[in-house]
Amino acid sequence: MILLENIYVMFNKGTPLEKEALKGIHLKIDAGDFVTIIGGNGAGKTTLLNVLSGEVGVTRGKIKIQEKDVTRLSTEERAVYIGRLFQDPMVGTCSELTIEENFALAYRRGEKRRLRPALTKKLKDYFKKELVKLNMGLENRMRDQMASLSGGQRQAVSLLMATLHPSQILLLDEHTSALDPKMGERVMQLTQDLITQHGLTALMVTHSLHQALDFGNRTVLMQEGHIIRDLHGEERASLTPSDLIQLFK
Amino acid sequence: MKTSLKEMLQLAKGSYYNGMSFVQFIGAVELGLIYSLVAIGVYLTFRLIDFPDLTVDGSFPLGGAIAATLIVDGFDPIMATLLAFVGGWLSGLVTAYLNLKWKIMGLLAGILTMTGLYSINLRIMGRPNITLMQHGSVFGVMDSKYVFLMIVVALVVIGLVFLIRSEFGLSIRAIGTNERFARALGISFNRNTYFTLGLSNGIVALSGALFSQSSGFTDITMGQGTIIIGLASVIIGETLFWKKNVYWLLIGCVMGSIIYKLVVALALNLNFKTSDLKLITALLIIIIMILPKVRHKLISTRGKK
Repeated sequence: MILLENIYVMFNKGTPLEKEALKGIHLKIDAGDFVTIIGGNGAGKTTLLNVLSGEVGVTRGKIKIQEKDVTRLSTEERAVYIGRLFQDPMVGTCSELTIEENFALAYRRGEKRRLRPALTKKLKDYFKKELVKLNMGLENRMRDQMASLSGGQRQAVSLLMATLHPSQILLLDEHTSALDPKMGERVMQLTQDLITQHGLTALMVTHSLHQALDFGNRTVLMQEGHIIRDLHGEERASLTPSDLIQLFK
Repeated sequence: MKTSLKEMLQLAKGSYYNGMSFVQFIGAVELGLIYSLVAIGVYLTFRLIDFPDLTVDGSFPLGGAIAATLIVDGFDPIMATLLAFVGGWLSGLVTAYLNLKWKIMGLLAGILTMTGLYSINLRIMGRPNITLMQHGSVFGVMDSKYVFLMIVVALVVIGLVFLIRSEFGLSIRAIGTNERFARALGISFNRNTYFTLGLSNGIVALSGALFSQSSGFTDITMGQGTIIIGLASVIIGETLFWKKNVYWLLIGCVMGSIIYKLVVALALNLNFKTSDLKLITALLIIIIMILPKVRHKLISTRGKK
């Protein structure tokens, strides 16, 4: 499904600020895997997601999605494969547009945008039906600006929008860390439900040891641009958060 | 209310004020309609995609230069006006190219294109001004110039409403509000920027072509301050249709432009000189921009109810 081969990323090459963020990453992710990624600050977790989405170019290495070499493709060109959620709820939607307009944008992710109306009665009904699932009463606020929603509501809507299109990969970058614990839990549950329901392949960066082990079927530990452990199966099942900390030593 | 204002002005200035004549009023509305296309062009760049494009000071006279030169050469006025639109579109593409390809700051890219256009316009015209009085114009297709202008403006507004409602139009708005998110959705930032800058400057050049044919001349300096007139109109429109959707704001551009030209006509009636207009315009914009902030300050110091 996803294949990262010998990925190197260098920021600010040739300047005093030069920093190698990823140093030879090998990662093979099967379809349907839900991988959690954990590591300290500067370990390269977010860079790894950015490499996959195309926001960060690689200095060396190859990226394949569904057997296709996408290394040289731009973020825009990869959008058809990848749905994405950001840490900052403001980034995952257009604040100045309405809820329904945001949905209309996400509905055509990775497709050619035509001159036909972006919002039809049929689409509005469909979006409404999807929003009901959130159980936040947002289905009655379709024409409200995204800016009027709380951070948690925005993340929930973003999640729904990311899964609207039949893309197979979902990238989650600490998407619950800016939310209060209760809302964070709710969004996390929704994440799990949507991934299961659509059979998505997901990568989730997190700072929470609990989240890293409670969700998904595989956990990748990163440190200073390397993958230091790749846990799955029984080994992973037997681990506790404190064991996880030991592994970083 | 009106008379008391008049009396006050008479007292203040100690001069005789005879009000705005019907001819002046009609003239101001006509100019307002022509310049509403500038306002719409400015709205597309400054607001819709958040690109502060100053090319308009060059693309407005470019439209006038192309239309006038072609008409004098014996071209059909309608054809000449359409070619002015195309010329304006190309000038917008130059600014977009400088910004997107070579990462020159948007503001500077526009200024560079505008500066270059001054010489290009002179080349096109071959002399600093062209008189069109004895030639035909697009207004010849109809009995009434005003009806024709209204139809042109209405067509542009309707066309834009249709565009903005579309999937493509929505993707244009997306790059203006959240570039990163737009890219993640597969929206081409570059393509949308090229298109919008082209369209904006095409409409502005169309305005320039109409202005030339309406006033009967094209002058190399007629573009000076176009951007400020456009911005003033956009801001007046936004003040009128505060918190309204994008379609209302387009109509706001038209209303704003007409109001702006009426204010200018009024100012000229108050014995201000034409050379004072730039100062009046600057003050008008400053007042409109400061007003909401002053109001906000008053409310916050008094405390809310």
